[in-house]
Amino acid sequence: MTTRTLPAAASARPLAVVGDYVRLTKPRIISLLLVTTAGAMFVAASGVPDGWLLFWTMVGGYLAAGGANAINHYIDRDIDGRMSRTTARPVVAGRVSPGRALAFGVALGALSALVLGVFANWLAAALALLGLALYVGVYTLWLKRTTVHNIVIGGSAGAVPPLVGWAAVTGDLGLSAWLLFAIVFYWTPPHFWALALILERDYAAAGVPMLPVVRGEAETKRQILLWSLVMVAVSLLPVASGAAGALYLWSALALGAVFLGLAAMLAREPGLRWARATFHYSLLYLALIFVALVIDAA
Amino acid sequence: MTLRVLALLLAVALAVPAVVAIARMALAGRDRDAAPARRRLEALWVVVPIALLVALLALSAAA
Repeated sequence: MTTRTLPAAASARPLAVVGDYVRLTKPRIISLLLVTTAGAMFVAASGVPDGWLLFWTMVGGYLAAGGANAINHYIDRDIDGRMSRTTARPVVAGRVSPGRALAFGVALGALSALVLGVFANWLAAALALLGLALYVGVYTLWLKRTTVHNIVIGGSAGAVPPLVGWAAVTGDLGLSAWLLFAIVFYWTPPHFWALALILERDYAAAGVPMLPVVRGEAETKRQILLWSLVMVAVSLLPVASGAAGALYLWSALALGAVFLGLAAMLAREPGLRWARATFHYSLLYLALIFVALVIDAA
Repeated sequence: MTLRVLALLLAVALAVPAVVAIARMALAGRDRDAAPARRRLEALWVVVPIALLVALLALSAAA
C-alpha cells in the first residue's frame, strides 16, 4: 500500500477556504448569543433540558446567527472596506465572492429553520428566522446607516436568541422569556457604544452614524451610563416578577454595580481607557447574568 | 418587604431617572431641520425602548 502526500499549498487551501466561510459566520460573536440561548433553556426547564434538544437548538441557533452574519458581510462589503477593523474580512479581501457569501448566508438561514423546526419546534424556528430578518433587514439594511438610534432598535436582533431557547423548551413565550429578551436588548446600547467609542474613527470613515460619530464622546459616555442604569433595572425584573429568587437578585446587583462603576468611570474620566474595560466587562456581565439565572432556577 | 417588592422598587428607582434623562437628551439633540416624517421616526426610536420598559415593569409587578 502506498500513501499519497499532497503538496503543502494544496492541502492548506481547502482549510483556508473552510476558515473563510467559518469567519463569515462571526463565531466569536455567536458564542455569546449561544450562552443566552442555552441559559434561557436551562431557566425554562428549571434545570437541565434534554441533551439532544440542547444540542440541536445550539446547532440551529448557530446556523441562524451565522447566516445573518454572512448576509451582513455581503451587504456591508462597501463600508467594511473603509474600516481598518474589517478590511481583512473574506468578502472585502476578495477571498469569497459577494454572491457566494449571500448564498451561504441564505442557505444557513434556511438550514437553521429546518434544524430547529424538526428537532425543537416551529415556534423556535420562526423566532430564529425573525432574529435573522431583524439583523439583516432592520439593523443592517435600514437603521445602521440612517440613524443614531441604530443599535438601540437593531439590538433587538441580538436579543432574540433567549426567545429561541425558551420556545425550544416550552413551545411558547411567557413573561419570563420576554424579560430575558429585555436583559439582552437593554445591554446592547452600553455594550456597543463602548466599542463604538474605541472604533469611532473607523465608523466615521465608513459614514456609519454611530453615537460617538454624531453626538461626540462626552454624550456617548453619558448615554452609556444612563442605559447601563436601565439595563441593571431590567436585570432585576425576573425577581420582581417572581421568576427568580434571592441568589439571582444579589448576583444581578453585584454584577450590575461593577458595570455601573465602570460606566461612571468612563463618564468621568477623559479619554478611552475605561471604554475598553466597559466593553470587555459587558461581555462577561451578560454571560454571568445568564449563569446566575441558571443557577437560581436549578 | 418581600424580595419581589424590593426588586421592583430598586428597578423603578434606577430606571425612572435614567429614562427621564435619556428622553431629555433625545429631545435636546433632535435635528430640527429634518423633515417631519424623519423627526417622527427618530422620536419613535426613542419611545419604543421606553414603552417596552414601562410595559415590562407593569407586567412584572402584576405577575
